[in-house]
Amino acid sequence: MLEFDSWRRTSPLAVLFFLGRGVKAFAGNFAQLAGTAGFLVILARESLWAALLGGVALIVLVLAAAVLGYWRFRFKLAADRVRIREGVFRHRELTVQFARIQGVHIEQSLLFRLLDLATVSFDTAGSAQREGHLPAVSTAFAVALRDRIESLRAHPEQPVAETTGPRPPLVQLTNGDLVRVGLTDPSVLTGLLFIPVLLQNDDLREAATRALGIVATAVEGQIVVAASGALAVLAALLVAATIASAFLRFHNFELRFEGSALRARGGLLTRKQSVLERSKIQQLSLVQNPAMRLFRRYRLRALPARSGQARDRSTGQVLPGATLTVPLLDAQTAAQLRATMLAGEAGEAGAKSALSLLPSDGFAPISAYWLRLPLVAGGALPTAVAAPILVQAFGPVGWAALAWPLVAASLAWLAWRRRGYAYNGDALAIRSGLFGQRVETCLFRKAQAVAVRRSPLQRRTGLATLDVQLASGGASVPFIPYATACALRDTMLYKAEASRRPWH
Amino acid sequence: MNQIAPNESPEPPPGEFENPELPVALLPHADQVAWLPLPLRYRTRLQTARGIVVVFVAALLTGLHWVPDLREAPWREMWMSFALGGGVAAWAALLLAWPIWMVARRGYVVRDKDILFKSGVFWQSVKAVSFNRVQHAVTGSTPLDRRFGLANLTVFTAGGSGGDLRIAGLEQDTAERLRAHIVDRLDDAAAATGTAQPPQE
Repeated sequence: MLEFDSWRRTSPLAVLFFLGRGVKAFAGNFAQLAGTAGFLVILARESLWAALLGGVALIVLVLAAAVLGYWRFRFKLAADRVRIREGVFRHRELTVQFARIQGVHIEQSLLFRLLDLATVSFDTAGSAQREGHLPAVSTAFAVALRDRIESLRAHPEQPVAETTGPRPPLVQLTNGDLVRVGLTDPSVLTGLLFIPVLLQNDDLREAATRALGIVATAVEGQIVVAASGALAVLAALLVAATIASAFLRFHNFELRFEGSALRARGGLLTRKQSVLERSKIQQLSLVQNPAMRLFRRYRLRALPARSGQARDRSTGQVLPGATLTVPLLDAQTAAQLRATMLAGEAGEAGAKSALSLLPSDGFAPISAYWLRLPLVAGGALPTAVAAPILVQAFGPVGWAALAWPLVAASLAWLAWRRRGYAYNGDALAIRSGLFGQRVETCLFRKAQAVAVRRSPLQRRTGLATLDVQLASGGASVPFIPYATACALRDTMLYKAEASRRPWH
Repeated sequence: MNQIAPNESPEPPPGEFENPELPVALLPHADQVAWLPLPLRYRTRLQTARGIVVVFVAALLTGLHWVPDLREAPWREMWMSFALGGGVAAWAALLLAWPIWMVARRGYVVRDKDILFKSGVFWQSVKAVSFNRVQHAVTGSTPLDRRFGLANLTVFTAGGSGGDLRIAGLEQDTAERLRAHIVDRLDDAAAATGTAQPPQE
């Protein structure tokens, strides 16, 4: 199946892949898109034909770029690496060593599935390399390549993989679960928050008022009923959209543990598959938002080292590499998964002091001195500044500002109550949250850098903040006893320095 | 749930594997070390840089005196001018004096397995980076640094956005030797874990 040492093209349908990439690159640059659209609109005012011609020219340009992209794309397999040549104007050659690959993804769109084609992409760690893609290769080739990469990765000395029988999936989502995923999606709230922004637009507001008027006459003039009804309908629509999106992303989702890697599959039209080597997990992040609390469910993400190349377009932040997400799971599965994901660590086998991943149990609180900063800087200080101004501006109503410290205090107390930390001989878990909660777990030996910080207040009260830098990001435990922070730091350094296992 | 993969790393078989409990008190403490101070030249270097800023700001404020449009500005009254001048003088004094405490509080230690750096006058911190987690190390110096014979050392680990440990104001020679030492240790660590990276094409 795998053919070595010859430059090859992929299937001509890879043009679709390059087309998608071109359109994404074009549309992703907002300024570019807006500029082009504006130009076309201006052109259309002058002459419709010119605008049409411009639009067609644009489409032809993008199409031509895609075809040329396909034409220039070649790849060559060697025993331990794949080389990719691509680029229309700027040529680029990329060598991806199988041993350095963090994760392999096989993606099939609906069309590709019908044609038995797939797109393979690799995640590599380290800033020196880029992500590679092999678009529109045959499914059999994709699977063979993936198996080869994994066998090389798991046993560097013996290239032939011995396959173990399939294990039952660790997690499987039913349709009911998917509905829950949609219901607990926080983007519903974000969508509702957008309504006031939309109503800033005069036309939309007028339309909304008119629609409300029609509904109001229908329910005999009760404007409140009409408004809340309209809101409910909107919310229902948003919820339906998030449920649909959950089905699109996670239909038939299952997570398996195969060989030494975790493999997640799911998706309705585009079936996505992501693989994460267990030893490459840097951090486990368990989240429960208030809606999930109603269902007693959690969301779990396993974070590998950041690839250093993928950046969020809007914020410029480095995105994590092949993050493995389990959208919905219950407490018991979460505990099981955690054991699987961190298994092989010394302390886990003994499980003498099993570290809980769940937010409910076994977390030590942080010092209440932590509350001082939010109380002063978030509550008292703004009130002291704002209250006189508000009273001057709004008269006696302005005194209502004095209620703000109470609100700030209760919020701070909520946040403080959620803060906590737990550790055993190998791992540290940090809990935080306000209305929801999240637990970040990391292994001591995977710490990249550790710092103990102390503010003047912390020095007076014998406290300290522990900062842990991980390859997947950072974690921090504020306001714990100084001695504990130092002991944790020393243990982490010891574990990281004494460990002879690769950390990624 | 005991799904430990075979051959994940060169390790002893389960029967021979020992995992005694660690007495945390016996672990080496990262605080009870002999901190190496930064050279006093660094203080002078910082004060020089800040002095330039102070002179620039003072010149700017003095220059405003002759701007005709600002003749009637409220702060041209006598007491306002004095308050403003006093404020600027206090700010300049603090700015120039600060390196005395800042440099005195900084220190670093190179241990066998890691490097420690402490800093901060009010908000103090001690940061530690193990050599076997270092990705690369860089030295650098600005023209002003070079006039004082100083250089800075930045140590990078995975996942950090910038440098994870940055020691400014080392003697040029020290910085260079430290960098070489860290890179050496990096190769040792790679050889020990069997993750030595094959040469790139």
